[in-house]
Amino acid sequence: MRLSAILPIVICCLLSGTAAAQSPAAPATAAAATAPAAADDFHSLDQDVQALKQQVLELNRDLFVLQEDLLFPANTQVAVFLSVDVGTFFSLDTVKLTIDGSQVASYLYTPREAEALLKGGVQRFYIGNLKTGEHEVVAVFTGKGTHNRDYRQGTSLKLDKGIGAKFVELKISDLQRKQQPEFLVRVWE
Amino acid sequence: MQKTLTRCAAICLGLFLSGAVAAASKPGRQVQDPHYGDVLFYFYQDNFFEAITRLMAAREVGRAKAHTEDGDLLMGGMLLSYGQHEQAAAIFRHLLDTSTKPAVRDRAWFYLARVSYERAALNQAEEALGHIGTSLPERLEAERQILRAQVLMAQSRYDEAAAILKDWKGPPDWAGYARFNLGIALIRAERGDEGLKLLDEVGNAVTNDPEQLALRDRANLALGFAAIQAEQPATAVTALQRVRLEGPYSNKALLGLGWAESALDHDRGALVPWQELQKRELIDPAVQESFLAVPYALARLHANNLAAARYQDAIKTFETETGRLDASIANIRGGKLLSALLAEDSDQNKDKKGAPDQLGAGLHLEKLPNTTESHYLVYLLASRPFQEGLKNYRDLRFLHDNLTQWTTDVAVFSDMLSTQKLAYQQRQPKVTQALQQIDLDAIDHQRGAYSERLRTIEDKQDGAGLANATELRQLASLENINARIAALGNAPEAEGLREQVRLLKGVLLWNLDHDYKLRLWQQKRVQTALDDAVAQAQAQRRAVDDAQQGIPARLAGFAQRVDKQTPRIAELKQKTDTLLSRQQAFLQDLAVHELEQYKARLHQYTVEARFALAQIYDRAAEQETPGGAATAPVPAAVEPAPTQVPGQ
Repeated sequence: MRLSAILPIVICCLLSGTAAAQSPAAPATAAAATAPAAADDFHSLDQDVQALKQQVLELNRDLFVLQEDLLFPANTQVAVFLSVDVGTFFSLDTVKLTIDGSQVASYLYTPREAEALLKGGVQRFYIGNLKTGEHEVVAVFTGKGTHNRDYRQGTSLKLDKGIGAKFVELKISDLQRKQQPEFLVRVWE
Repeated sequence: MQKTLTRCAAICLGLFLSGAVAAASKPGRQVQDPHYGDVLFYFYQDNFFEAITRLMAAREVGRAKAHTEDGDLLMGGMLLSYGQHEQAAAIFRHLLDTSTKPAVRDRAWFYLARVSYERAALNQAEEALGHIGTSLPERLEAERQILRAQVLMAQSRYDEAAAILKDWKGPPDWAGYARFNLGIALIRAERGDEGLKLLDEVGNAVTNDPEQLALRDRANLALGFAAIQAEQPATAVTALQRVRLEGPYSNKALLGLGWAESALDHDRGALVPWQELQKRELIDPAVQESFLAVPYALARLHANNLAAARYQDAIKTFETETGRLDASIANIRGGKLLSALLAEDSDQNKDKKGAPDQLGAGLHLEKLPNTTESHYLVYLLASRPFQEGLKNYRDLRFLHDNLTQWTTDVAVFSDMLSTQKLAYQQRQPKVTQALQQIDLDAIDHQRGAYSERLRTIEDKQDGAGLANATELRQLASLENINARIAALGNAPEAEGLREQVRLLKGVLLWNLDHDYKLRLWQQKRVQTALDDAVAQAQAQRRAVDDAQQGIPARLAGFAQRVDKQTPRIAELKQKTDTLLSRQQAFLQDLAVHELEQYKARLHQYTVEARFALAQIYDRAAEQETPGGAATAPVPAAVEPAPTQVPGQ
């Protein structure tokens, strides 16, 4: 029995209960008649739960910022984001990220995550620390290309890391002219 | 209050599921800040808790500024879905105060209307809806119409609501739910004919969609019982026969069909659905009721012996059921119901979404856990207080887990800081010693002296001043030779030697003079490089000094921030645990209260069965009494008439 499908029967039961009660051996049906005090309890509890949720959200915000400050100080922080624009010619499976020859991240996307990217989400899939100076960032994407063929392509970037956080966006886009995906790199200031 | 159920549960389910989504950017829209895109990444996975946290954190450190209004709309929508009405409303009001964009303002008014409706502030909801212009996206515009119809229905303005729903342009499934709810509302408002007409429309819908089939059954069920109430049993039979034989409403439909047939004096016909019901799971109230209905019909058919036997069966059955109810109440008190419900929700969440339980997500309880009590409580579980309470309970468990995780993480932060502090204390003397060995002031002094010397050479255009080591040695040799020649006095060979030395020195000085400009340029380059190197060394030294002085302060600052969080987490955890207990008790009380009502009803059934039995015995006794009223012979068994049952 699908519970979601029978939710509005609460309304229905109000009717059926009234009708059935007219019959001699047909007492009221099982319409949910909650205790009178329940509404007050529910309201009071709900208020308290909402207040707690807000406090926990604020705590999470503060701890999220603290964690980032602690682990990835602004002077050395580098974050790599991934976005997908349209995605007609490429369906993303994995991304591997290498910085200065060392693999620092790899990610296997679930359909749900891939869909979130297609809708316009941008994933911060790597955050780390780098010294000032020049670094080589290489990303290798694998997935399905046109006609469901396996597709693998890399893109690279010479990253000049100065003092201050650096944000790099890897963008998978459609190159209509060649009917192929293209992989772009953008450095956000 | 949260997104699963509202007064008109089905419609609002659709509204809520789409609500926060509609507040977000359209697919493919370019984000102006990757951190905002990161928020959307979690938002589009329905992970509202992570999305809200990241948006709050981004704003805390001054990011995502390019998405102030989008971000506000998104945050408001998520908070609304998350049940934080006050905060959501504050955000939308702020947007109305600050934004002049019609698209933003229309959305803000829409969400404010929804908040007001959710809080039963119907006039405010109507006013907010009235402010909405023409800039809502298509889907939200469809929702606006439904919301307006809901507000009007809640104000008993059914004609206006009906007019809106008549011209409805939106997802057809929503329209079905809306017509259904309007039909119910009209019947409740004693406008039965109009209500029945609407229900009849929904009940005759042609569809293969399971959700719509269920809605059609529901409409027919409601129509059937409303017709029974309106003393139109023939109409009731038609409607109830349209309910599928296997479905969530089939048992109630069978029960109602029997009563409709009975009202038409078709007692044999009534026995068909009721006897079908008796083959089904006894746990269903409709099935229980059939245990009284069948002997009732038999008695009306004068099959008194059989009726008496069935009443006795019913009494035994009700007693057994009462025992099961007592066991279920004990199970509920022991917390088994909530555990089973949350386990079922979690499993269905994973199957459906591929994501773990998360705060703010809707319940995905599409089938009941396989426990006795959950089947007793099917209607309670579908009720708003229970659904909302269960969702709060699950959210509290999420918060508990979240806080537990942070307790561990903050302890790790603390350990990490201690390690960093220790490493600093160990390294600091070595670094200090190494730095002391490098006298940067002396180096700078030498650099200054060199610079001064070069300036003097340039002022005097002293080519010899730029002589290299070989040339200086050569000059020194010539001076030495000159001294030795001087020792020869006026010896005849001395003059020749002097001339030779003079010539050699002249050549050397001429060469130095000739290369003067080149050498000066080269030395100036060296000087510039030297200046830069010394300046860089001084800067690095300052940086090292600053770092050396700053590290303890930085570590202390972090330690202070971390230390502050520990009691904060502990306090919140305690609050969470207290609320978990309260919420659990609230839900268990609701469930137990419901089962107590079941017990009372079974008791009532038993009383009625005994009373009916006594009446049968009395009648039998009267028949045996000489001079008693003549009655029809009692048949040993009654075969039901071939009446059509629902769905056949």
